Amino acid sequence: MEISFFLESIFALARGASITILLSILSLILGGIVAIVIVMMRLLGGMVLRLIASAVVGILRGTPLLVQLYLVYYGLPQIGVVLQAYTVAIIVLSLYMGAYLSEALRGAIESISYSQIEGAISLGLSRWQALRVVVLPQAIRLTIPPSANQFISMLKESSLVSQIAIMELTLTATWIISWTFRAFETYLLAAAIYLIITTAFTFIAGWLEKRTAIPGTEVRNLDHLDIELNKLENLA
Amino acid sequence: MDFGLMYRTIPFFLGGAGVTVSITVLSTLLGTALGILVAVGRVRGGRITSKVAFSYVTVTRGVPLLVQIFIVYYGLNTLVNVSPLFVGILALGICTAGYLAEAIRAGIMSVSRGQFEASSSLGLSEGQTMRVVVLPQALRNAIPAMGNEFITMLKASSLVSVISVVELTRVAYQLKQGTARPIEMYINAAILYLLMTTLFVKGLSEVEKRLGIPRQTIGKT
Repeated sequence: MEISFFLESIFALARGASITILLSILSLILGGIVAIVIVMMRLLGGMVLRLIASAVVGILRGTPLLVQLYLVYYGLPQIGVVLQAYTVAIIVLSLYMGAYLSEALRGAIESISYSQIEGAISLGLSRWQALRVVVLPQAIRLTIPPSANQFISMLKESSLVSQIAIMELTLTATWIISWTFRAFETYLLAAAIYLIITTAFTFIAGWLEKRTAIPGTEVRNLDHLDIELNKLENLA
Repeated sequence: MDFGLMYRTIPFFLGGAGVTVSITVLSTLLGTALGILVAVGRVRGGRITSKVAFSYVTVTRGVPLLVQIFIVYYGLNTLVNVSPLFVGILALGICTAGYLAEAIRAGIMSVSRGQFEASSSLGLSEGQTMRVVVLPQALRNAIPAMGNEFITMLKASSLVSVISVVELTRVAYQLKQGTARPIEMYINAAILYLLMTTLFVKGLSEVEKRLGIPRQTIGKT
């Protein structure tokens, strides 16, 4: 491969990578909003709202993202709605992300013991205050580790939008190949860039998790616990 | 919506679903075999072996499956001419092996150290210890995590449609081209995926109950 050509490919791939990151960040933000709406529906809504919310989550989590993308991308024009590919990608990725984030958020809210709410109310806080100053600050912090994981898998899953003609990292690679015919090398290069991005964000996520962990709930090395359990078993 | 069309095309979709399940099962078998090697290499291997195993896990989990499929597809096709179906199973197997290796490694770590010591004091070699004492327990410990990975793979197998393997998603794509009715066709595919994931989740929790180690399924707190 010529060096100038190699550099040009790198620049094109870097632009594609920035689209990949941008799409993932957007879907994290919009997905977060979707998740909050879904959780509100599931925790505070009536029976109908609850059923709808859990059905939506079930469908979004039980079908492949690729099928969802195709359904919206090819399906909307059939009913007369024509959207840009970017809009379709952002809508589908955000809904998909929202479904997964809502499970994380719901788990976090439910993991906060009810006695804390009772305690807050007995101290004279209203229910809304208890939710706002006692439950949510903890729940949001508990949601950070699973959300970070979800964001990192979105960095990879966003490669699927290449199938609806969005010039992110994977499609940029395909595009370069269409005039160089060097498929293997170019995809390897794209893979290396993905690896760098996911590794970098894994480090950032780890740092963020440590910063925002609720003291006393950090995930520790559980080896000592195992040993204690074995001791107890030997005694029994 | 044309429900008649949806109903009439069901046989095609069932055929596609059969291919999807076969691809998933075969790639999971391949992935489990590879995953055991990688997990054992990471836990018990020497400095180089464990580094290699660690890199394998990092790469397969850090690169999108779609890109991995393309790499295997174009990488193999420059050497030999292989069918897309074979490439699909191979690529899915290679990818899922990274995730399964982590599940199996966690399973191995949960077997207490005392058992390693006990079996070596009984005269078993390291290989024997791994094979007859640790792995049977480790795999049973790993069943829930491996089950989740299987469900993920069931959905991820839709990606091999882009290298023209005719599985469920590809069937929907072809019928969409033929009928110009994308909504009906993709909803059919989505319903079948949903049915399959739901059924397999149910089935796997049964497997977990039957094969899990009883002591640990009762109370893990």
